[in-house]
Amino acid sequence: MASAGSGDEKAAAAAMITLISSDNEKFEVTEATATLSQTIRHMIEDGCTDGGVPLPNVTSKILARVIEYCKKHATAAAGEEGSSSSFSDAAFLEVDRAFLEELEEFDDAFLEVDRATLFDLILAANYLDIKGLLNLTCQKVADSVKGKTPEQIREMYNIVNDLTPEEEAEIRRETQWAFE
Amino acid sequence: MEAPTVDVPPLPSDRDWSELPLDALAMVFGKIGAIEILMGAGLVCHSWLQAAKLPDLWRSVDMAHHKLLDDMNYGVGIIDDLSFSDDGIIDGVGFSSVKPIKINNEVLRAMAKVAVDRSGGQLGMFVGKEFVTDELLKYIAERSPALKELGLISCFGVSNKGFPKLISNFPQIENLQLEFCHNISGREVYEAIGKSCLQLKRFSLMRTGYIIGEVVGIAAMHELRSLTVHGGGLTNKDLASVLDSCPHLEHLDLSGCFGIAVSEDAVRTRCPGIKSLTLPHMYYEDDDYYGAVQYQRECTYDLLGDSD
Repeated sequence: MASAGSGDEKAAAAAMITLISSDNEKFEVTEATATLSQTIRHMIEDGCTDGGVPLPNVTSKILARVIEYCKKHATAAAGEEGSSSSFSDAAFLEVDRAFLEELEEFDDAFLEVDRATLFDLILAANYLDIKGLLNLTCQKVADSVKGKTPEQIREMYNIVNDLTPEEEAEIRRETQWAFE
Repeated sequence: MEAPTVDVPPLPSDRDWSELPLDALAMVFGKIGAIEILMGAGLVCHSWLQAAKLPDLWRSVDMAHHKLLDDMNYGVGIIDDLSFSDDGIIDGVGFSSVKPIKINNEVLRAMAKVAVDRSGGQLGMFVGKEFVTDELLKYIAERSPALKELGLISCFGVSNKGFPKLISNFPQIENLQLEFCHNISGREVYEAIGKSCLQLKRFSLMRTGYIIGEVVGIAAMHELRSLTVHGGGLTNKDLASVLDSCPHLEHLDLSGCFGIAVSEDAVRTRCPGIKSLTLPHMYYEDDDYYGAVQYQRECTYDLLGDSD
C-alpha cells in the first residue's frame, strides 16, 4: 500500500491537489489520498501539479469513486502507521484487525457496481496505477469467470469471438479439450 | 501535460471487455490459475488469448488445487470413465451421474505441457496431483532449468524408473514435496535427490508404506532448513544420522513418524539450530499410550546416542 514517507508526512498530508476529470469537474484531495496513485505521485515528484492534474481518461463519475477508494485506504494506511507507537502489541493487533475488517467491508460494498462501472474502474486503476484498486477490481472479474467455459464468459461480458483461424488451429492443436 | 478535454463523447453503456488492458488481464489470469486459463478465460478472444500467453503468468503452475480435480475424485463431472484407467487410479465404477466436462488425467498432462511451453523456460514452481508421470516429468525437466519448487501429490505414474535420473535435471530445486507417490521409494532415491539438488532447503515426504531404512537417505540432503516426514519407517537411528548430516535444520515436523521414540531435548541437543519441532502425538503423557510413553522414555537417549 502506498504511504507517505517519514519526516515530511505531516506536510504532505496537509497539501491539497486538484484533480480534473475528463468532463472538467474539479476534485480537491489531500496529497496523501492522491499519492495512492503512482501516476499522480510521479507527477507531484516532477512538480507538474500546479493548476490541477488533468485526467482526460477518467470521467467525473468514476473519478469520484476512485477518490472515495483512495481516501478510505489512505486513512487506513495512516491509521496503521500512527497506532504502532501508541498502543501495546495486543491493543495494536486489535486495532489492526478492526481496521482490516472495516476495510474489507468497505471494499465489498465498493464492488457493488454494474459491469460497465467495474470496467471503467479497472481502466482508471490501471491508468492511475493504483495497485490496491486494480487488485480489488480484477479479483471481482477473476471470481466471475472461474469455472466458466469460454462461451459462457463471452456471453457474460458481451465479448465477440474474434480468434483468427490460425489461433483457432493453434488452440485446437495444443488444447483439444476445449473443442472435443 | 495537455489541457483537459471538455468535449468527451459519451461512453457506450456496454464496454468492450476484449479491450481490457494487458496488465489487468494478466492480473485476472494470475488469480484464476493454470487450469482455468487453459480451459476457459484464456480462450475467449484474441486479446485474452494473447494475455494468456504472457510467460510471466506461467512461472508458477499449481495444478493440484482446483475444484475440477476434487470432482474427479468423487466421480462428478467426468464424461469418460475409462480415461482414468491409464493411471490405474480410479476404476469406472460409480460414475453414473456424469456431466459432460471433458477432463481426465490425459487432458491434465496435455495442459501441463502447454503451461511448460508458455513459460518459455521460466517455470519456477510446479505442483501436480495424480496425473504426473515419468514422461511428463521428463518433458518438464528438459524445459525448466529454473525450477525451484516441485510438488507431486499421489502421482503413481512417477516411479523409481524415471524419478532419480530426472531429478538431476533440476539442480536449482529448493523446495521438494513428495506426497503419497508410492512408486518412488528406497534409500537410493532420497540419496539421489540429495546428490543432485544441492540447493534443496525444504523437503516434505508423506508415505503410507513402510520400508525400514529408506528414509535415512534424507541424510544426503545437507542443506535442508525444513524437513517434514510422515510415515516411511523412520527410526531413531535414522533420525540421528539425518540430524548429524543436516546441521542447518530449523524446522522439523515428524508428527507422522510413529517409528521414533525421542524427547524434544534429545533432538534439540543433537541439532541446536532447530527453531520449530513437532514430534509424534503418542508422546503425550496423558493419553492412552502410557506403555508407549514408558518405552520412549527408556530408549530415547540410548537410541539417539549410539548411532556414531
